Amino acid sequence: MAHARISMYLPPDINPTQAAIAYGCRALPKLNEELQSEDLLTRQKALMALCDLMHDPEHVYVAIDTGCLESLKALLKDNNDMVRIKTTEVLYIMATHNVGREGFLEHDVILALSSLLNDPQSACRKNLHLAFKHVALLPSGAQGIVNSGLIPSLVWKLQREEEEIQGLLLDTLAACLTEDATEALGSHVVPFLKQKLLSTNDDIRSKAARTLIAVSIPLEGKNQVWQHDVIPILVHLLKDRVEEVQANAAGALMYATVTTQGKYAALDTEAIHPLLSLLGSSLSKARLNATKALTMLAEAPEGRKFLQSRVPVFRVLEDDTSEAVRRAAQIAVKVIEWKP
Amino acid sequence: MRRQEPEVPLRTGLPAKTAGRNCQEVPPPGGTPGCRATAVGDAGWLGVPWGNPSVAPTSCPGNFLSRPPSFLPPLLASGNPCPWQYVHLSGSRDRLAPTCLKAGTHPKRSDLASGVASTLTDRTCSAMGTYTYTYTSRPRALPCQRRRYRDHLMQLAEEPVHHGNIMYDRRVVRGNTYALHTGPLPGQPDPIEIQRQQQAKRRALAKKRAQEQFRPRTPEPVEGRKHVDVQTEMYLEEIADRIIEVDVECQTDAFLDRPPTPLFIPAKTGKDVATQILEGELFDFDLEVKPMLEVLVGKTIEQSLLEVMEEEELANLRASQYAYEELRNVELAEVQRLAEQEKRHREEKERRKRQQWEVVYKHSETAQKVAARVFAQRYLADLLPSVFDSLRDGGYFYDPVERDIEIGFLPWLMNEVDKTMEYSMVGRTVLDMLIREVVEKRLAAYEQRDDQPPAGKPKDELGESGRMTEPPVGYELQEQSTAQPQRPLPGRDSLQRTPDDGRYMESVLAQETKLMEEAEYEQTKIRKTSGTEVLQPRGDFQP
Repeated sequence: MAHARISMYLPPDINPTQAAIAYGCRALPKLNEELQSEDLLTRQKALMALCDLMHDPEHVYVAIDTGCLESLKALLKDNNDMVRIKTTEVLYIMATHNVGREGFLEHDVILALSSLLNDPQSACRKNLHLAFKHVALLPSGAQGIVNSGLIPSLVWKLQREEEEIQGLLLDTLAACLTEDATEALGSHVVPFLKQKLLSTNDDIRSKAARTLIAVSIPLEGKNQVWQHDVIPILVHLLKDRVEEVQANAAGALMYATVTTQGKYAALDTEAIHPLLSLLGSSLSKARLNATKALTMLAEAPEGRKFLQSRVPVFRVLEDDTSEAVRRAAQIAVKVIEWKP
Repeated sequence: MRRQEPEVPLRTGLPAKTAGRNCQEVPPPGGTPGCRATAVGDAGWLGVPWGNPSVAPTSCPGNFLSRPPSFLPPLLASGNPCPWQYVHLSGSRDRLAPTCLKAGTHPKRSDLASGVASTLTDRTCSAMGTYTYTYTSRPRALPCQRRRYRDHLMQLAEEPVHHGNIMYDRRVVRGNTYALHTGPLPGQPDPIEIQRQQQAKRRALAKKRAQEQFRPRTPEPVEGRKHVDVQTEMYLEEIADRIIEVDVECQTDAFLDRPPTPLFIPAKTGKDVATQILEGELFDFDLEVKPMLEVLVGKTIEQSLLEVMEEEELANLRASQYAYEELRNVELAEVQRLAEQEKRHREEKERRKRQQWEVVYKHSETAQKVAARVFAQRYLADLLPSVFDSLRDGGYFYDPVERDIEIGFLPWLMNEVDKTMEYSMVGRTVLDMLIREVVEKRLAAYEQRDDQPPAGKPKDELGESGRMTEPPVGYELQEQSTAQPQRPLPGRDSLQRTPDDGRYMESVLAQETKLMEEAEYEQTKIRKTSGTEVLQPRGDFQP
């Protein structure tokens, strides 16, 4: 029979790097107190424990309720690197949950995070940008980022940062610019994006193209895109080997060719052939964007003339799996066959 | 701070543990190494380490295990099996018990230790915080100090504790307490009191000595004699320095070991039932470990599931967001395209409308112009001949040469004619004057000569007629010079008659008039040309 003896020894401390998590509802308030303690070790251990806990959305809610965000904000200005890295990690994990994002917006965490944009530690900045990216996925979060005037500094950072972080930045910018692109357009985002389109990293190219889509939604963006001669590069990217890049480039073209100048610029650079080849791509997004871009080009008489011979391709597309593609193909056919 | 918590359950847990175990385990005699470090010695002093838990709570809590069983159990064997669960309710009682036990089994214990233990319990009680009144020293039943048996090291815990009866305790004050002299007995003797006592003693001694000096003594013995103490009682007594001592011995048996309590074997009742337990039957590791494993693995899996779910959720969200974004982009592009198209079409329509309008406008304008032209033509067709006619009538069509002649030449001619005529008139006037003068002179002469019949009157008449004929002279010349046949004007007719008279005068005055003739000739020449011109149109006009 086993001894029903409770050991006099405390359970061994399996993880000395983590603070002990109190039971039940005492866990988070206690960690909050530990976060505010003077002792560095306590704070670090509390942060590690918090990281684990924040994966559970209920804990996130409780944490925000008990005011952990204030202590975390204070810790962002700590001198110790480890503390800052861990704090940004905690904030990033919180931002992956909706409750966390809402809490960020209420407690002005975005501004506090922005003070770390120039932090010397790259891990810290990476977490920071991850947090921003997740916040930007929420429309009101993106609006919050725009409102706090961070866009010019983010755009500027695009030039300076390393590649991973550039990828994250581009994601954030893409989400924010779909909300409001005027500030970014004023801070030379188009030339920067143009450079990024020519980068060797596939990921960066596709994200840059996606950001360009967002940029060229407003009219000002379209004009700037045409002025900076981005359209030839986009046409060139249509022949890229990565499908995602092709699809995004087609999307950017789709928006840029809405204006007449854009249409003629695209026609001048022979955009129709690559777009036609994209119609057979496996990515539905690519097909969709290509169809739409060709529709735009068919508005111009030269384009229409050329595409009239290609109408059968569109008829084939009308039987596509995706409903959006079908609709787009129908519209394209209608536009091509329109007689004034 | 964490350590305080286990302290309380530890202390109350111990009794239960031991109760459950019922002295199955005999702790090794040397089993308290750590405690020995803090304790003074082992024999008989086991109580001390137990009594100093406050001193060594953090050190070797495990050693508690080895100590307790000898001290605690029987009292609590009857008590509740799991006292630590009722810590809050009956904790006081449980805690009381250990201290009592402690006190009971260590009769030689210093007050200090007991005091410490009691204060410890007090502290723990006050740490509980559930009592309104705290004791400095909790009331406890005092154990009796009488030892019947020799203390021995391996004292088993089932010795009944003999408590002393306070009624027979010398330490307990009986009777009234108001007149009692409470000396320095409670606590430390007061040093001041000690000093005072010593002083008093010294003073008494000194006084006594002083008094002895003054006491009348027997005078010194005379020389050769000696004082001797003599007994005067009836019976003599032997006086010796040495006190007669009588030793009386009484021998008891050497302290025997306390005989072990005879085992109480209750009468056997019931049936004997035996169970054979084979090895491995009672304890199955797998079974035992299962709950623990479940918890461990469960927690880990839970955490990891949470994280994986999180990731999945995020991935799903992202995927749906991408899909949504695609659709949105496409729709937005469509909207923009349609807007653009609309704008272009509208502009195109505007332009065409404007063009059409211009065309129509031009068309109507042209029609109007044509109509106007035609009408004007028609209107002016008649106008032209009449205009020409009226113009011609108005004299607007003229031969420039003719006109020029008329304007330039004829006036000049007339002027010349005038001049000539004036000249001739002037000449005639001069002539007349001359004649007059001459005549007057002649008259005068004649009158002088003969105051004669006035032959001057016919001369005057002649003169007047001469004057009248003068102008015609010019005209006559003109008539002479003009070779062309002309229709004679009535004026001319009159003029033609008079030259006859004039001819007469000329012949008279040939010299004076020669110059004038030449001049007149020239003038007439000029006038002739102008005159003919003047005459011709006049002739034309006359139907």
